[in-house]
Amino acid sequence: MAEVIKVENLVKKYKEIVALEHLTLSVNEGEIFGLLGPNGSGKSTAINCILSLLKYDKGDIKVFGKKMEPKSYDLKRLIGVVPQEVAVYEDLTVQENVDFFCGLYIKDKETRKKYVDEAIKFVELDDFRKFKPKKLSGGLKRRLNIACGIAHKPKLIFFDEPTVAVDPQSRNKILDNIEELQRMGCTIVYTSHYMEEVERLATRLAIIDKGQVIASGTVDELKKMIKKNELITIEVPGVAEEVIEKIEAMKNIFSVDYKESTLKVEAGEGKHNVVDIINLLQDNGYKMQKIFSVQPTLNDVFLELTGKELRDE
Amino acid sequence: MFLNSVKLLVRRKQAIFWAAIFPLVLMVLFYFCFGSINEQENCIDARKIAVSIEGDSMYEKNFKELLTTLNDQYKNGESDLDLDVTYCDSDKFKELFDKEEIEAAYKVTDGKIEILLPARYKSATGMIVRQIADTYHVKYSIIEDAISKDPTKIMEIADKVQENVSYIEVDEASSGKDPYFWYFISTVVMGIMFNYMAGIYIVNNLRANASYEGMRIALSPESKFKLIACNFFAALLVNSLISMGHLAIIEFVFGKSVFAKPGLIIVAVVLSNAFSISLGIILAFFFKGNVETKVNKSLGIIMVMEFLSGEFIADIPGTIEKYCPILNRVLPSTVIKMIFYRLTTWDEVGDLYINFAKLAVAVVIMLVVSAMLLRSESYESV
Ligand SMILES: Nc1ncnc2c1ncn2[C@@H]1O[C@H](COP(=O)(O)OP(=O)(O)OP(=O)(O)O)[C@@H](O)[C@H]1O
Ligand SMILES: [Mg+2]
Repeated sequence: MAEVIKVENLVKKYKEIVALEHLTLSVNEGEIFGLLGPNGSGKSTAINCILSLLKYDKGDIKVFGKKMEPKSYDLKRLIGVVPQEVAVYEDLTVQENVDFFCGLYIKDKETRKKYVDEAIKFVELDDFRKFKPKKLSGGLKRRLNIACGIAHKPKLIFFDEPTVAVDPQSRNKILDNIEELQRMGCTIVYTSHYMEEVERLATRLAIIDKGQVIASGTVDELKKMIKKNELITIEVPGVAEEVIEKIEAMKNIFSVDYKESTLKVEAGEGKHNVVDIINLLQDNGYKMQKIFSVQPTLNDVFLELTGKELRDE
Repeated sequence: MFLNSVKLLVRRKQAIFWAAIFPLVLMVLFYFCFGSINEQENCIDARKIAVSIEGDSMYEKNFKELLTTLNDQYKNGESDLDLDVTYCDSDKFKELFDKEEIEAAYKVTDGKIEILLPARYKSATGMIVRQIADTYHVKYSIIEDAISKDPTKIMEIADKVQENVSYIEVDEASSGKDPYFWYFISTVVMGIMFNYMAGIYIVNNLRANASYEGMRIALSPESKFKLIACNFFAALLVNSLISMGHLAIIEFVFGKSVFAKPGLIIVAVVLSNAFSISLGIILAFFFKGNVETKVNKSLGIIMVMEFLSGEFIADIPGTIEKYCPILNRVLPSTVIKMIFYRLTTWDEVGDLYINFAKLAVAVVIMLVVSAMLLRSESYESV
């Protein structure tokens, strides 16, 4: 698979603040690459460096196999960007905005008209063509922001936190759009600090913190990296001390906690942890009321790797 | 893209307000406040001066002689300085002032000239009477001996007076035609100067570290030269049309003729707008901060220029002419005003083309410099 983006040892300082510290990552053709990290971890900075919008101190950046520079107009033509902030003209209508930004790439009037139309339909802003951005709700503005970034049909698209401050319905719509774009053959770089979004979308991802990649791979690969794999909760009254000890003795089990008729077990990787515990309890004649098992989230991955929560608000 | 740039500019209400509506409001207000005065007071007549000669020393006699010589020169068409001199006793000054029969008075005693002006005097008249007295006083003490032998030496003083008052005359000759006409013209020029705002917005739109839209533009494969040119010409079109509108209003609503030389007026409008827009462009690169800060800081500069060009105190250019004449030749707002004065009032071409050239050169330099600056497209931070 072709590498669309390759970043090696990227260092970027804002005066004394080190925003990126030897960041290394690569993005393959056709994938949705998630860049997951808390606020201020350097996601936007990384994207802006890749786009050669920012000067950087050290490192090597290649896009489509070529060195990216401010005047790499041939590369810029292939790239679409949906910036973190809504970047549209307040004084132009929805349609004019999309047309303006598309016009920076597509000179042919016929083609452009078609593309603008398609982009507006794509983000479902058809009914708002004549609206000025300030009359749009936050979610609709975000969709306009997307339309402006993708109308020229780029091959590589950067989405920098496109769902910040958007209600769940609009958010879903945006995520659907991104998946649709991938199906259409685009390569996508998606940054977010919402782990479920990345979990849902990303083919592969990198978790970054303080300007460094602390882990990367597919979602499953990342989850496998951590020891605690599964949290099993069973409501079962009156379990005897010796049975609990037996569970603790089972292989793959890290900890067992029994309080107020609720048994909480942290288990490592293993296919039949739940079945094994249920069997043991049944053999001892206990009646179980509720059983559930929670798979680890990317938050757990982050927690284990950095010792802090990846805030998800 | 050109069309979109035009649309953007037209919809930018703040800039449009300053460029189009504000000068118009001033003109209308002015018209209603002073429109009536306007009708009574037209041309500059001769400057009416009363002179009282208290004794018969040479100093006093020769002053009288100087005034006569100046009058002769005017009659022979050798100068523009028209004095209407009444000789009378100084006791009568007050009465004459009250009846507005004189604008200034000299009380000449041996070796001393006292100038009397009413509380509200025409600034140019004030300057002229002072110049005459000063020149006479200084020059006379130098050639006192010579003059006693050769009375025609008085011509020397007269010539010196002519030289010293000529710029005041020029300035006044124009406003003299219609003192309130200038107000309209300089309001149009002020509107043009306010168009620097368009320049600031242009840069703001194009620079990635100034606006999010600019970031999008920086990321696109569009040529930065083309973008700056497109935006510049869009602004030039819009703002020139606004200025032409102002002039048309002066012509057709207020009834002052401004389109005597229509072709040159268009050149003047386009060039001076080009100047103010490119000034805004360069200032936007020069000042740090967000758009508002840039607009405000630049407004300061524009206001200083306007002040120096006599927008608020009409005497300023005359004073500058005395102490630092070069400033009047290079100060943009003064240069632009001179262009419009030439085109609307004076018949001779004078320095018109030189002033056109000055503006054109300034525009080209400012645009080239800003295009170069915009090409350094990679930013420390955005
Ligand atoms: N223009 C700037 N000047 C100085 N420091 C900056 C600038 N932009 C970002 N930083 C710093 O660089 C670090 C990385 O910022 P960046 O915006 O890349 O983070 P992010 O991951 O995009 O965060 P967020 O989720 O809030 O968008 C932060 O510590 C931030 O304070
Ligand atoms: Mg960010």
